[in-house]
Amino acid sequence: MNRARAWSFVLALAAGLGLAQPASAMSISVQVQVIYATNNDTGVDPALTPHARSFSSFRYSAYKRVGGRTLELSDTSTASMELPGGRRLDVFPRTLTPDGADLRVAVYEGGQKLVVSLVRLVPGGQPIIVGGFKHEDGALFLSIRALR
Amino acid sequence: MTCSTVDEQIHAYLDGELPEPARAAAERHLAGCAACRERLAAFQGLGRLLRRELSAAAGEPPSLWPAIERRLGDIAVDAPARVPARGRAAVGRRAWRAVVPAAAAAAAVIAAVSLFREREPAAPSEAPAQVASVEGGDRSSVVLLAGTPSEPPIILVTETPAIPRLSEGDSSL
Repeated sequence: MNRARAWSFVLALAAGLGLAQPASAMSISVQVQVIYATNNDTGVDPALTPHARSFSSFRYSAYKRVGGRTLELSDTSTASMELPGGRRLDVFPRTLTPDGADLRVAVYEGGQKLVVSLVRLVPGGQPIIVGGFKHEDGALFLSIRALR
Repeated sequence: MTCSTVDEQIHAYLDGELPEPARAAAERHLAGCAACRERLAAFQGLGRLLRRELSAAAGEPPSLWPAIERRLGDIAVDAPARVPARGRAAVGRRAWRAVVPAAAAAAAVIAAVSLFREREPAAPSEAPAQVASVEGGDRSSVVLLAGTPSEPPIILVTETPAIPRLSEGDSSL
């Protein structure tokens, strides 16, 4: 009898702990790099070497990393990041799975939408590059990548 | 709430992200505005189309390309001066009431271009990023350069309209 009661207690405790444990929410880290492209200089910031090939698409002679942040995204919460020039980046996760994230990426300036895009990023996979925003004598680009 | 406000918030509305007061205001506006309902329906339809296209991407036949290129020919616009030649998809934004169907078709084509432009498998360590749709704002236009296994997709934003206004009598839209 005592043994049965002991087991009942253990089972009840285990069940209680299981119920108390919140369901693990899916989350993902998204790395944003802010890149300033200009013709007033030459060369590619060593931190941006992986992007050098993409930069051949543009007409600028110099690319420098001027900012960056890692955004932690979880279900249905928008992560925001201030950008140079009074702009703001919003990233909203529409779907998060271990294989990838469907994200709504938007850039605003002074409350006005500049671009809204639906993208799919794979953790550790390719980034997307969003940019061309006027900044000083050149342009700003964002590299947005999901981290493993 | 105005049509313009709904236009700004339509994605958040569709994602269920709009806070309750704004959502209720949007729904009141939608109840009385056929044009905004039409735009909402277009985006809902586009979302379904994109999900279907994305899920079926791996099995599509190569013969899709000619159809995509034909459709691109129908919707392509002049790209901004600094857009390189490798861009194969170009989308501009016009007054949305006139181009909801065209925008939906354009976004679908962009999605298809992103998916099918290159068919070589990507290296496992660099899984491709995909752009399902892209849209500019009132004073910006966007051009998508589809990604390849070795180059990520690029969304170019120009903050001055890339598309000149149609001259009077031009009904080619």
